[in-house]
Amino acid sequence: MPMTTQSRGLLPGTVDLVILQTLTQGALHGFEVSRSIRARSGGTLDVQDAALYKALHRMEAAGWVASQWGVSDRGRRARYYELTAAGRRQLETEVGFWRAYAAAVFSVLEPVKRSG
Amino acid sequence: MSGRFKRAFRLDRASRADARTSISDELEHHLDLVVEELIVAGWDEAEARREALRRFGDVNETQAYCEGVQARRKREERRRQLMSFDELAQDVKYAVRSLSRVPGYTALVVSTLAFGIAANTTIFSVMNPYLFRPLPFGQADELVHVNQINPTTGWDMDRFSYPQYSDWKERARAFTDVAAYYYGSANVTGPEGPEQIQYASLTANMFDVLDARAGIGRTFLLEEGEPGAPPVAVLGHGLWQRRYASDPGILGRTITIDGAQRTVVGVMPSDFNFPFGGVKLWIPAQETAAGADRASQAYQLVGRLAEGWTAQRAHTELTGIQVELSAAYPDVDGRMSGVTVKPLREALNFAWDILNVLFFVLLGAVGFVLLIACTNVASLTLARGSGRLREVSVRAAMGARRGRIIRQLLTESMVLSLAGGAFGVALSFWITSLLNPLIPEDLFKIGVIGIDRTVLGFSLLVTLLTPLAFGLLPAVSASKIDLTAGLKDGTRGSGGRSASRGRRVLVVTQVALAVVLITCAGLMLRSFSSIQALDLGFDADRIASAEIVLSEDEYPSAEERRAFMRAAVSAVARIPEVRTASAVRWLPLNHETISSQVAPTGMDGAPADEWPLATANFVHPDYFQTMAIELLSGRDFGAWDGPEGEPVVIVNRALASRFWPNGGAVGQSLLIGDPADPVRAGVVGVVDDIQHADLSPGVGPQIYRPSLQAGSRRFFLVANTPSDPVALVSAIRSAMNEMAPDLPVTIRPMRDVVAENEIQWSVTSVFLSIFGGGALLLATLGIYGLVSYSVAQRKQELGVRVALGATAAEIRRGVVGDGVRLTGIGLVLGIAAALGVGRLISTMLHGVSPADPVTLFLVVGIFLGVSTLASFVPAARASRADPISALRSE
Repeated sequence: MPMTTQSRGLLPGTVDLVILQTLTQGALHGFEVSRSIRARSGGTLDVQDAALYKALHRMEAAGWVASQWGVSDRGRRARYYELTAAGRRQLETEVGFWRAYAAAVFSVLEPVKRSG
Repeated sequence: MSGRFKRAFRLDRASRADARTSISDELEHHLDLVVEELIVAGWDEAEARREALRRFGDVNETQAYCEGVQARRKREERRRQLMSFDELAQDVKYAVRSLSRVPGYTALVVSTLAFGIAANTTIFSVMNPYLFRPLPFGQADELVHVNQINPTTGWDMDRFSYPQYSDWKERARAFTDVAAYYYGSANVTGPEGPEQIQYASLTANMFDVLDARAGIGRTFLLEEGEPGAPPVAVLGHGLWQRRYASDPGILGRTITIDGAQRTVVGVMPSDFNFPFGGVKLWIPAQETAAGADRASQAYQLVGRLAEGWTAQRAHTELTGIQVELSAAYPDVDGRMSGVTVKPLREALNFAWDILNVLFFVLLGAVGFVLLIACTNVASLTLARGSGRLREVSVRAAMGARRGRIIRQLLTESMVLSLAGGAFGVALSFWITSLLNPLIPEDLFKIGVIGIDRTVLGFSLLVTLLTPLAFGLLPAVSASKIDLTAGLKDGTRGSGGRSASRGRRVLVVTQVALAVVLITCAGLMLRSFSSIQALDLGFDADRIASAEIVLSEDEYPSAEERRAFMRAAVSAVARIPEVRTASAVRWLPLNHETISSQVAPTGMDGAPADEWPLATANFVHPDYFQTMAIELLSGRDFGAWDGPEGEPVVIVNRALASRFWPNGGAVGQSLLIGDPADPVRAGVVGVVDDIQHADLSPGVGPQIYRPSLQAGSRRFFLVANTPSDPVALVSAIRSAMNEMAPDLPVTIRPMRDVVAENEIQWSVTSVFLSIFGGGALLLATLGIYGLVSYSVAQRKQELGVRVALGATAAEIRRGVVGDGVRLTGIGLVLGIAAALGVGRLISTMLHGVSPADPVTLFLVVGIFLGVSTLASFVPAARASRADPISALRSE
């Protein structure tokens, strides 16, 4: 079956960053995280569901997010994730790194001027 | 946002659910939402489901991955929690708070544990200086004590003469060096007053062999051991403090020892002890191998093993030397058959074997006491555990893990145990301070009895192990709870039944242990009373003794010494309260037993090693009358049995019946001493047997010769009085002071001398009775607690039975019967164990068998009586059970 998705998978290393940033809105369950990322990127970025849940659990073990079962707006049991203080610090570090990295990549991508 | 968060986070029962279902639930929830989304977008349900799964990726793999992460995290968390100091502090704070709510329980537990730990600490601290504390010598494990074995006497501690010592020192390669010593009693005179002080004469290298240095000044120089060297002395720390008031200028002072002037060159440190605590003064032996008599054997040897030598190997080498020297000197060295090489601590302690047994008996006893204390506390804690079922259930429902609850309960036990340990050590501190003055110093020990670091370590170990013994079972039992039952009804939860079974087992154990202890205490008390009832052959209660040592300088000849003895006896006899007085060379039961070989004239010419040994003594006229030793036939010695008279001897009943079984001992002749050249003495009398060497049953041959035919420097005056012998002390002292103002006299009632021989039994009986009494009390509390508890638990049942017509007496019988039944099981087990233990301690028993029926009967009686009493109080309460309230609450 050919790939029909219009969206693109995330670059490796950016999944955590994007999830952490998404959780700054407050406690969300996995599906909400996924749909929030898709909505905010205008449908361009899409985290694969398997990767999303693996990342959430991995980050919980690392202490960046905390989870708790609750009842969703629609009256269903759902597991909610929330940023911890350590997660917030991690996010700042990551964002700083990506800003610098992106700036560097963009400046390298400027049209090359012949020197001399 | 935060409002929604709170709403979403209502407490969810599933939060404790298993990780596996929790993760599959989470993923399922996600898939459901995707399916719903797709249906809204127009997919049909089955298609939507397939699409959702396809988009997700590998669901199973993801689930396995997440489970792995979660399991690792939980393990990590558990480990952190166990290590967490914060939580420990929290547990301790919680424990203290919850214990302060039950002051009765806490006080009972802490005092029970304090008793158990104090008993252990005390016994350990008493034994520590004898058995464990390091010797005050450098590299003490290299030091060995060497003696010879005498085949005729069977004595394996025979001495060496100075020439023998020199030969051994020269030949033995096993040692880096060997030193020799003997000890005795000396008269020390001077402005501080006359005093008898025990001293040891040492070869000048002794302090170097021991690797002991002086606290003040120095020890001996090697040249001070040569004849003609200026006479010196080294003082013990205690003697310097007491007699010389810790004089800082003691070095260089001259003191008079046995009439001779000696310069003090050093004071040993307070922990120095050689060869035993009573010796407080050391002087160098000034002898040469050439100048000394090879047959005059006074010395014992201490050697320091050379590198690579063991006591075993040294023994082999020394045995070889013994054989060589026997060939060279058949008359002297040839009389010995070998050598013994023993570790120094073992050899210096006269009572090593007894102490070892005593130690393990007492340590076993206090171990039992602690076990009983622990079972009691465990039982109390189990009861408390079922009482707090509700509290534990609530904590478990709130998410506390089982391990966490067990840890909390163990922390509580540890807090109790540490408090008990602190009180116990304090109690033991006080007890040992009382004990110290009571302990005779003649047994070799290092330092005083007290709580030192080793003892503290031991107590700490006991204290830390205790909670495991009493806290683990209740904690596990309390944590094994059924939530719903526990929350529904706090008093009758499902934990109750298993806890109550546990308590019954504990009470039976406790009774059994207490039975063992009380039986041993009973056997010891019976031994002690049998010792006290023992017919010594003389009347210890009416006699005072006075030890006298005449100095060589003032009384050089035997004639002068005999004259002094005669005068001293008559001076004492003139004291109004004194009935009769006499003198003896070696006082009975004063640990001085001198043996001679003896034979009837018929055995003349029999091989020397067939001549039996008799305990020998020299006595003044009237000795037998003064000591109340019965004269069976013949006569006493008289003033005419002097140096010019015929050699005469009085024998005891055992000797007379052995040599002359048909009677007629009086008038016979007895050969005494060296079989090659015996003294032939006429038997003039036969007296009753007496306990001279010790209190063990069966007295061998004993002979008495007239002291007026000898002339010893050291002897004991004995005086018989119808009143209290203690009252004679000052009268004897002033009588002697009139005769010889500078002569020190040591006066002791004969009862004290005898009591010293009984110490093994008196100490054991006292300790075992205290421990046994404590054990009995604890077991009684245990029975009482259990019966009360089961009555409280069965309140409803009993109420119903009363309602159905059971009389109060029937109810009481039932409850008391329950308590007595448990005691009965404990008794049977305990007596079976006591019979086994009794055989182990049979060497310490005197006059009773380990299965003594009187003791066993009494023990059974005591326990049945006590258990009936202990059950009766709760039984009376049970019989008043109110049927109405019981039925209503049902």
